[in-house]
Amino acid sequence: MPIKIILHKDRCNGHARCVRKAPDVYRLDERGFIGSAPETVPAELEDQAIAGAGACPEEAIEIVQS
Amino acid sequence: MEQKNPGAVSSPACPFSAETQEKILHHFDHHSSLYRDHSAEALKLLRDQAPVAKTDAHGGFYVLTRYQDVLEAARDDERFCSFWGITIPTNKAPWDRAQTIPIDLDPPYNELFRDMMLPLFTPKAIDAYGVFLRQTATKLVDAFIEKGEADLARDFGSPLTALFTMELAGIDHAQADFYASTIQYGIAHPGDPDALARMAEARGRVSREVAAQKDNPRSGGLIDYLFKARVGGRPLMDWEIEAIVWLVLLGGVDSTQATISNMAVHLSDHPELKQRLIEHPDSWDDAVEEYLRLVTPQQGLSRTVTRETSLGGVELQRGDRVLMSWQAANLDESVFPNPNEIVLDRKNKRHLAFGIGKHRCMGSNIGRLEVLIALEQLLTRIPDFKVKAGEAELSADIGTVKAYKKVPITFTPGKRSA
Repeated sequence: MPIKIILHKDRCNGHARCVRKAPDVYRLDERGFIGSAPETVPAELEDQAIAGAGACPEEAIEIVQS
Repeated sequence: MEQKNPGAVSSPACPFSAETQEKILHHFDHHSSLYRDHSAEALKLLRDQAPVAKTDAHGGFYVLTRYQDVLEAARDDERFCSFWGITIPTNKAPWDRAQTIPIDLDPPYNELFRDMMLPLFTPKAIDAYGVFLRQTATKLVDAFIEKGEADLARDFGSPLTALFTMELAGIDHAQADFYASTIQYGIAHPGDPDALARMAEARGRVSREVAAQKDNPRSGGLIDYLFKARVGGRPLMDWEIEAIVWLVLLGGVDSTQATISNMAVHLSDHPELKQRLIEHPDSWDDAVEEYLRLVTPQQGLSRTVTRETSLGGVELQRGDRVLMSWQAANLDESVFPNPNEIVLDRKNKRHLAFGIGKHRCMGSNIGRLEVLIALEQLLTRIPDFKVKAGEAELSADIGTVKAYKKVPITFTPGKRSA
């Protein structure tokens, strides 16, 4: 079942842990805060996407089954 | 099933006498020798029996030891403010202007300064610092690798982080030892008159540095950056620049070298874990996170309650002070099972070693990189290093930063890199 990423940008404080764990999924803006992520995740990037979300100390990234 | 790890340490039942338990539960003092020698056990006793415990030490405060309570306080700057001082005891009076910026400020003011500084701390900027850090780390190991012994604190962790902090700040590298030794001493002897005098001297030197660079600009580095920067559309005042540089020095020269020493001591005590890491460089990132969690270098910071509220079921009044123990939160077994072990494949990476929320440590990813590079050097160049039995010496006071004064090691001599 494919997964979907929901970003809660208001919770982000720029720790940048998501890109460390999932450089192919998450993009930071010029301040180093979460910029973007694909809404639906290609199967081969699912593990990365989940690891990146799990690494966010602010719980700003939510993964849902779509 | 939780995987057993070679880094396992047994966690005994409560090791304290009734009298000592009473002392911890009602008179907790993170600056005491009791805390220095038994911090994890003391924090566990508090978490199990009084997670929002009132103590009469240092004029009275509450100590938070559950992950959820620490998280709640750190995230709510309106109820738990920073401006009345972020350490216990504090030497900042409510009417003093900020001594360290942005950390002393509350939102939205801290964000003005934080946002101005963020470009210095993006992942891209940090990748560039990695070049300097690797070269410096290599040279430092070169200086002792042929001898077969060293003091990892004095010869490696401290100069590595101090030289980088000078580089980042834009201060002559020759000042690294002065700032590092003075600040480490000051943090390890809070309230001691001699330590306060030495800290005042270092702080005075920052003012002179900023003034000197105003007359003779030094390109590159934080001070130069701050001269050109704007907050709220205006240039920074000199005292604001000094308060920022002072914070970068305080944050740069102690807590990360502390993590490097803490990690080295633990690795020396856990040869199977060390061997596993030598064989699996892909788990070094995870090891760094686990070391930050297990031995949180900056042990905790405080906030002041701004209005009547409750936290963890305890009623708090305006003006009450709370100590958010990052260390206790990071050892909360309801969040991190087997909290006293290094568990490399632990899924939950949400430790609070760098704080959380709008005051989270801006240098967090620099600190991580420094610890990673230190780990690389230790495991690849002196992999059989061992701490001399009984010779690693903790700081006199670990209430602010859990650091080692000395980490004497021996190892099979190796070759210099060039």
